[in-house]
Amino acid sequence: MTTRLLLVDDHAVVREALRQLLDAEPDFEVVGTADCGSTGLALALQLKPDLLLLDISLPDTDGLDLIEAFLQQGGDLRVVMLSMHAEPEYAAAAAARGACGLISKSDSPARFLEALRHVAAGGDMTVHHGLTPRERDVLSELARGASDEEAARTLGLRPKTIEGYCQRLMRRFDVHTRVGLIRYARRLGLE
Amino acid sequence: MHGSRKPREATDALADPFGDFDDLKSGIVRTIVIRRITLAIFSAVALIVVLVSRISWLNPLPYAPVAWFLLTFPFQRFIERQQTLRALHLAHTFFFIAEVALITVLVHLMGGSEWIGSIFYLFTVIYANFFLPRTHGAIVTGLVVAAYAGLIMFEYAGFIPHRSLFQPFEELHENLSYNLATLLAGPVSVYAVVAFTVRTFAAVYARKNRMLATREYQLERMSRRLLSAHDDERRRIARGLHDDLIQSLAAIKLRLAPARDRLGDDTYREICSIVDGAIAETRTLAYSVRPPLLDDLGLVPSLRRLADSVAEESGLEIAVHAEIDDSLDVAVESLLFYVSRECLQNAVRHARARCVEISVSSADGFARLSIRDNGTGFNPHDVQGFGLRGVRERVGVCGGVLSIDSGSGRGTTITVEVPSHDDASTAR
Repeated sequence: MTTRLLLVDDHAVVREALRQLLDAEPDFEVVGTADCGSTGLALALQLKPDLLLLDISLPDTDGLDLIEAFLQQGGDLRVVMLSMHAEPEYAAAAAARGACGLISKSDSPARFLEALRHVAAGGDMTVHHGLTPRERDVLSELARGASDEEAARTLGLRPKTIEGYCQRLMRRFDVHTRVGLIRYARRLGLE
Repeated sequence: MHGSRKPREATDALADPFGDFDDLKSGIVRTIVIRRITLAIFSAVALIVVLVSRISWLNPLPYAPVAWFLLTFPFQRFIERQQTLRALHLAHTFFFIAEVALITVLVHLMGGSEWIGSIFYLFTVIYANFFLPRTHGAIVTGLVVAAYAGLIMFEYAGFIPHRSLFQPFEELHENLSYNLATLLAGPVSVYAVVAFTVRTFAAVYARKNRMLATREYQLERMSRRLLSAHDDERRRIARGLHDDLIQSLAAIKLRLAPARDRLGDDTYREICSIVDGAIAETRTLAYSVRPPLLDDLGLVPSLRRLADSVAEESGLEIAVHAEIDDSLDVAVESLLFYVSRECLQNAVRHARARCVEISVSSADGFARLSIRDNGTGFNPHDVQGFGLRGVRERVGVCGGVLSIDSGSGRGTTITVEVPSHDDASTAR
């Protein structure tokens, strides 16, 4: 079963790149694109997509303020925010307004698709910032103050694997210490 | 004019050559202190004269300056106690009237118009016309002219006895033309003309002061406009970096993915890491120009983010407490963010602190920011090198006040209070 997507982003090059990336995947179908919030709303009403990819900064309205307008159109529309920003505060703000999550446009395409599939499959509503469920579990264990060994035991993994997750996440979030990573996770609301 | 918050009444601008109530009061007190010093010297000279020339101890010469010297103390306190401009001018006028009476008595006792001491009126007239409003000054000048002229004519007519310390003038005193000449030269020409001249000078001084005040106001407004233009410019640049440049870089990465097979894994990864580096650099640049978070989500998340990144780099422990009741102006948010960033940098570079606490709150139209560290502290009067001067100036332009509480070994607390809306500061 394919997921029908509506893409709202004012940056034409990014919009085109995303469309090509998604169209190349058999399980995604981009049914429409829009370059501003008002066109996007009109299209959403007309096309009834399953999933909306909404840029956080649009020329006419703040993307965050649009989330509710889209959700009020009824149906099972799920909203995923797109952003260029690395700050986790954006993810928290998007989640607070009812979005399923926020994906950074600078993430690798593979990670991008993985996160989208997770939401499309009705995955849990607190996907943050394109984290996979596993990454989220690791992060929230650490944010709760667990050591690598404790986290490994709880999640049924090897401590070495936890360490590997941490290295990758630290690189991705551009933090340089374990303390920084934990602080970042807490800012995401993972605790 | 952030210092004095004393009430200021609307008065004749000429009467207020000093722009500020406290300045005026301290100016008056200074003139009283100068009189006191002069009178102390007079008193000493008078006592020496009495001792040397064997003048009778009943002679008032030595006592008058001493009494006058002593009187300056209660009068100074009397002036200092006044809280409004009107009361201050009245008290000052009262002081001058007492002085004129004292001088007149002294001139009478010391030989009437022939005595050189009549020159003492001069200081009264000068000071009165410089410091007092037009009508008060005219009253004091009129009193001087009337007292001096009256003394001359009453003594000539015999209404009051003429006393002379020095014999050769005895006959002159009985000569009408001499008395009329003195009257014209002394009270009328000298004192009336002096009054007029000083009043003219005071007017020039007041006009200059008003001009300066206007210019200061214009400068302040221009600084505020420049600051907001500067903010807009930085916002525009940061937006450009974020919305255009980084997005294009991200698009490159997205477009590369389908070409992965053609490029080969190694080349693909290499290009991706170059693009990632460019994205990270641009993001750092955009953040240093103006954090997008500040415009998108406001001050508090921006402060938390700032605290985290500084903590990450420096190992400081930084806590952020926020209690914002009313919405803040963009300009105020920018200001408070800028102040926090500067202060955190100081804490890292100079203070050798371990913990920093940032508190921001707003209520009743005022926003308050305080940054406390447990570092080495410094002498708050010697802050040239700490970048705090620029901070203080910028706070001032927004109509706020910055205060520093610091001392060697007890850390530093920097507090900023600023109207939470820009128009509140414009309407001051």
